[in-house]
Amino acid sequence: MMNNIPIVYLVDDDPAVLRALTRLLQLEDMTVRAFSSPEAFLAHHDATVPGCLVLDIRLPNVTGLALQQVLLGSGCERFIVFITGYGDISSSVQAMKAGAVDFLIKPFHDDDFLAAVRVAIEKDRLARESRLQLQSIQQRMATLTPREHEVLQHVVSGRLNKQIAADLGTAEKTIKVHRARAMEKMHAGSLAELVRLTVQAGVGPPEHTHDGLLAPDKSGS
Amino acid sequence: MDKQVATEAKYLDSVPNARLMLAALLTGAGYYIGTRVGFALTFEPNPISILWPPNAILLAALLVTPTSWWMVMLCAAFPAHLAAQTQSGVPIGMVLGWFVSNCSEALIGAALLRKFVPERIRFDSTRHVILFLFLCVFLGPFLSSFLDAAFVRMAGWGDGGYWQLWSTRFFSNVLSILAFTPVLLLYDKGFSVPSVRSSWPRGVEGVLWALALLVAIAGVFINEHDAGAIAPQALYAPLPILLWAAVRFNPKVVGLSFLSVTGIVIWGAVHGQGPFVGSSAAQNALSIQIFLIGIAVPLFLLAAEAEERRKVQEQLRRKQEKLGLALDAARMGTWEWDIRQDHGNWSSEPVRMFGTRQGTPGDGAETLSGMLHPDDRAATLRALHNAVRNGLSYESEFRILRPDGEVRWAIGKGAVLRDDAGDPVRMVGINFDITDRKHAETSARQEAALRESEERFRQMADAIPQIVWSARPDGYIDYANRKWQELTKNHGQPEGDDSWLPFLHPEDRRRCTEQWHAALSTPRIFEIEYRLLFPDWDAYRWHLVRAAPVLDDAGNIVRWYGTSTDIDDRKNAEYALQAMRDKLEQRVAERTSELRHANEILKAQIGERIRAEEAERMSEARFSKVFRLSPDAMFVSCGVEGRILDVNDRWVKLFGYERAEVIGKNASELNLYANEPGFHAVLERCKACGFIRDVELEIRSKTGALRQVICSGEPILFGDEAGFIGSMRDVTEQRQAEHDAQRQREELAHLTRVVLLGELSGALAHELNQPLTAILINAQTARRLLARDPCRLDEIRDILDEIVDEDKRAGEIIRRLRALFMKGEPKLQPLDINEVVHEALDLAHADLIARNVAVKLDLDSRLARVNGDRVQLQQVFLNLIINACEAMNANIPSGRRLVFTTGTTTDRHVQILVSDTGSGIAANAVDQLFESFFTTKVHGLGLGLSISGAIVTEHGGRIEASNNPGGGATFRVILPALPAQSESYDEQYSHRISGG
Repeated sequence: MMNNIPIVYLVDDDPAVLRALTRLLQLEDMTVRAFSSPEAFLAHHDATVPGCLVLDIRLPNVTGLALQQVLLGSGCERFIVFITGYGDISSSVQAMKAGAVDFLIKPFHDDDFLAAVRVAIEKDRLARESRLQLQSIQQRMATLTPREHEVLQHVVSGRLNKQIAADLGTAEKTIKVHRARAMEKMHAGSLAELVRLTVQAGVGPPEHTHDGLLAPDKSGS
Repeated sequence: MDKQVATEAKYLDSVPNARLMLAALLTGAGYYIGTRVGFALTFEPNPISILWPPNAILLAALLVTPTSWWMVMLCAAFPAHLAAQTQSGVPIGMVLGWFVSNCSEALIGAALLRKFVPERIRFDSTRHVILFLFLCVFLGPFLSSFLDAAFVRMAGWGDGGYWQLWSTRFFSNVLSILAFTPVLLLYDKGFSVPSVRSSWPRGVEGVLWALALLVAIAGVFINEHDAGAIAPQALYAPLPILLWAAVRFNPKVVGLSFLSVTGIVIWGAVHGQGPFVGSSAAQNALSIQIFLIGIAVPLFLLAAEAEERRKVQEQLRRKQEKLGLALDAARMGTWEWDIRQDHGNWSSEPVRMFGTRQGTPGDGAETLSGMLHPDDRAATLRALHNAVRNGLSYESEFRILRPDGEVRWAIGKGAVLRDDAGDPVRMVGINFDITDRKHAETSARQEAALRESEERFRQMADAIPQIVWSARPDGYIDYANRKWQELTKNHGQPEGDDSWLPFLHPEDRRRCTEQWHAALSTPRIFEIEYRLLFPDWDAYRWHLVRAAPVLDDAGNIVRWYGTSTDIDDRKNAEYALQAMRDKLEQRVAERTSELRHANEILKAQIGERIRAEEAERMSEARFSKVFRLSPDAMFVSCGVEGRILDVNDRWVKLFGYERAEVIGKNASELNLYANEPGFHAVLERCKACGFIRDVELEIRSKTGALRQVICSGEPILFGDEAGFIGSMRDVTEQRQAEHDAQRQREELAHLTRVVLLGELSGALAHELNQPLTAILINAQTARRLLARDPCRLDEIRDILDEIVDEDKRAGEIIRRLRALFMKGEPKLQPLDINEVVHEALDLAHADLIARNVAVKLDLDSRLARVNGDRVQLQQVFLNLIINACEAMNANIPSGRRLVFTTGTTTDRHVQILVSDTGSGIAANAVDQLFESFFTTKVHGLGLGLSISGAIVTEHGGRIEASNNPGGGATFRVILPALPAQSESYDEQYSHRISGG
C-alpha cells in the first residue's frame, strides 16, 4: 500500500472549461493537473501516480478516444471520465467498451462530475491495492526453492503428503519439511490461505496433475 | 535740222553730255547755214535781208533745250556767227555787235516764254500762241532791234538812218521767227505723214489742199509779170487755202505751209517775180514782210483755236467710249427722260435688257411701265413720280417682262435735273440688270437653307444615343451619324449596302441581308433585331433596327431613314430571367413558390411592356423620321430657360402630358424632375462639357408617378438661339427587374446560409456548450464555496468574472449565428479580411475538429482593407471551408489539411486562397462549378458556390478554382482593395470597434 495522493488529470482544449473544473476539484481538496491537449498530457503523465483522467472527446489533432487507445496500448491502466459537448451514441459506446468509468455530456452537474471522478479514483485505488498484494505474494513465492515450489503445487492441488512423496519418490517426512518451509515462506497460516495466495499469484496446479488428481479421485471413490 | 537734234538725242538719252555736244554742234551748224541763207536773201546791194533765220534758229534751239544748256548753245553759235559774218566781209566790231543783239533777241524771247509757259510750246492752245506772238515774235525783236541799230550806227556799216535800220531789222526778224521757229519747234520729233495714219478721206483732202496751195502760190507769186498786172485781191488767193489748213489740219501743217509760202514769196521777190517787185528794195521787202506777218498772226491763232477744239472733242469722244465700255461691262444702260415732254432717251443696254424695240428714243414713262412686270409697275412709277415731285433721287428694283416671256431683274437709279427756277426738267439715270445676281442670291439662299436643314438633321442625329443612318432606295447606306463613327472607329461615312456586315454576328448576317433586301421593295416600316460587335466591345450586343421609307408624291420610295438601338440590356435581362426561371421551375419550384410567384409577376410585366412597346411601335410611324421613330422619349428645347419646342410621342407617353400642354414651358414650370438640384447639376455638367451621356434621372409624370430614366443630350443651334435636344430612356422596369433579381439573389444567399448552418449545427452546439459548461461548473463551484466557512470571497469574485466572460463568449457565438441566420440588406463597410477569415474559422471550429481537419493560416498582417458585407463574406469563406472539409472526407484523418492564405496583389486587390488536400475538382466539373444547382454532393442543393460567386461578383471581385499540383483544390477569391487614403478612416474605425 503506497501513500501517494491521487491526482486528477484534466484534458480539454477549452481553457475556460479547464479552469472551472480545476477550481471545482481543488475546492474538493483534490490535486489537479490540467492540460489543453493530449500531447501535453502524455508528456507529463506518470502512470505510477494514482488518480484518474478527465478527458474531452473532441480535441484538436488527437481525439479523446484516440488517447484512450494510446493509453491502453501502452499497458497503462488509467481510469477515464469522458466529457463531451456533443454526445453521440457511437463514441460513448466505444469509450465505455474500452473501459471508461463514465461518459458525461456537457453541461453537467458538479455532483455527477465529482461522483464520477471519485468512483474513478476509488477504482484506481483498488486496482493499485490488488496489484500491490499480488506483487508481495509473488515476491514471497520467489523465495521458495524449486523443490518447495514443486511440493507447493502438489499441495494446492489437494494431494496428500504420502501421495506427493510417492509421486516425487521421496520420503513423506521430507515432504512435510518442504511443506512447512513453503507455508512459512508464504506467510500462510493455514492450508486454505496458502491455496488462495497461490491462486492469486497465478500459479495454479499443473493441468495434467490436476487431471491426474481428479481421475484417481473419481476412480478411487 | 533741229529735228535731227531731237532724233539723235533719243539715242543718246543715257549720255547727257553727248546729247549736249550734239545739240551745240547742230545749233552751230544751223546758225551758220541760217546766216548764209539770210545773206543770200539780201536785196543787193542793201545789207538788208528780208529774212534773217539765224536768230529764229537760235531761239528755237533755246526753246527746245533746258535753260542750263543755253550758255553752251550761245557759245556754239558764236563760232558759226563769226565764220559766216567774216566770210561776208563784215567788220569784226559789227560781227560782235550783231552777235550780242542776236543773242539778246533769242534770250529775251526764250526766257520770257519759258517763264510763262514752262512746257514745250505746241501751238495748240490759244493762250500759248498769244504769248509766243507777243514775247518771242514781238517783244524780242522789238527790244533787240534798238541794240542792233545802235551797233550798226556805231560801226558805220550801211548808210540808213537809225529808225530805218531799226524797222528793217525788226520786221525781218519778226518774219523769220514766224516762219522758222514754229516749224523747228513743231517738227523737233520728226516728220510724219498724216494721210497715212488718218482715214482715206483725210488723205484725199490733204492731197487736194496741197495742190490748191501750190496752184495759188505759184499762180500769184512766181509769175513774172508787172507789179500792176496782179490785182491786189489776187494777194488773198492763198489765204483761204491757208485758213483751210488752219481749220481742217493741225498747226504743223500750218507752220510748214506758212514757211513754204514765205520762202516762195521771198524767193519770187528776190528773183524779180511776184507782186512785190515794183518799188525800191526796202519798200518791197517791207511790203512782203507786212503781208506775210499779217497772214501769219491770225493763221496761227486760228490753227491753235481749231486744234484746241479738236482736242476737246477727242477727249469727249474717248470719255464716251470709256463710259460705254464700262456700262456694257456692268450690264448697265443709261437713260434720260425729258420730264416736260415725257420723252425718253435710252442707251443700247436697256434695249437689250428689255428685249424689245419699244424702248427706243421717244417713248415716255407710260410706255416704259408697260414693259415692267405687272406686280412692280405701280411701285416703280410711284418711285419715279416721287423723285420728280420731291426732288429725291430715284431708285427702284423691278422685273421686266420681256416679249419672249423671260423675266429679268433690274435696278433703276436716277437723279432729277432742274432749271434755274427749280422746276424739274429732266431725269438722267441708269438701269442695270441684276438677274444673274438675283439668281445667284436665290440659289445661294436655297443652298443655305438646304445646308442648314441638313446641318440641323445631322446635329439632331448626332445627339441621339442610337445609331442613325439613311439609305438610298436600293439599300445603299449613304449616311450614318456620329454614334456609328464612334463605335466603328471609322470617321468616314459608310459606303455601300454591306458596310455594316462585318460588325454583324455571323449567324445574323444572312437573315439580315435577306430581310433588308426584301423590305426595300415595300413601303413599310422595316424592323429587325440582330447582334452587333464594335471594336471596343467585349461581346456582341443585341440591337433593334427600325427603318422607315420616305415616299414621294407618286408613292415611290426615295430614301430610307433608320435607327439602331442597343437593346442588349433588355435582351440580357430577358434571357437571364428566362434562364433563372427555367432552372428554378425545374429544380426548386416546390421550395420557392414565392419566387415563382414573383417571377410570374415579372414575366407578366415584361410581356406587358413588350406588348405595349409593340403597340406603340406600330402607331408612331408617321411623323418626322428620326425624332418620331425613336423608341426613346425625345424633346427639343430652346433658350437659356429651356422652353420646350417639341416632344415626341414617347415623351408624351412617358410624362403623361399632352404635347400642347408642355410646348413653350420649361422643365421647372412643369416640375418634371423629381430631384431638381440633381437635374441642375446635370445641366451644369452639360454646359461644362458640351453634352450629357447616359445620366440617370428621376422624372415625375403628370400623375405624379416617379420613373427612372437615362438621359442623353446635347446643345443644338436654332439659327442664333441656343437649344437643346435630349432623349430619355425609361429604365424603371429594368431597374425594378434588377432590383427583383437582386432580392432573389439575396434570398437565395440567405437560404444557402441557413442550409450551411444546418450542416454545422452539431458542431455549433458543441461550440456553444463550452461556455455553458464553464458557466455551470463555475456557478456550482461558487455555491459550494458559499457553503464553506470561512467564505473565500476573492475566489468567488474570480469565479463570477469567469462566468461573465463565458457568458459574453456564448452571447457572441449566438450573435454571429443570428447574423448568419438573419435576412438583411447587405451592409458595406471597410473590412479586415483576416478578421473575417478568423470569424468564419471560429464558426467552423468545432466542425473542423470533428472532421479531424488541421487548419493552417498564412495571413498577411498588412493586408489592405476591403469594402464589403461581413456576413456575406463570412458565408463565402464558411462555404469554402465546408466544401474543403467534404472534399477531404475520404482522406485519412492526418491527411486532412486546410490552408488559408491572404495577401495583396500588385494591382490593389486582396486575394484569399483556400487550399485543401482533398479529392480535387473533376475535370468535367470545372466549367460548371459556379453555376446554380450544380453539385457533386449527394445531398447538396448546388447553390453554395453559385451564391458565393454572386456575392463576390457583387463585391466587385471574382472567384476561381483550380486543382493543386500535389492533389486537392485551391479556391481563389479576389476582392478590390480600398484605396490607401481611406487608411486613416479605417484606423478610426478599427479603433472604435476595439474600443467598444
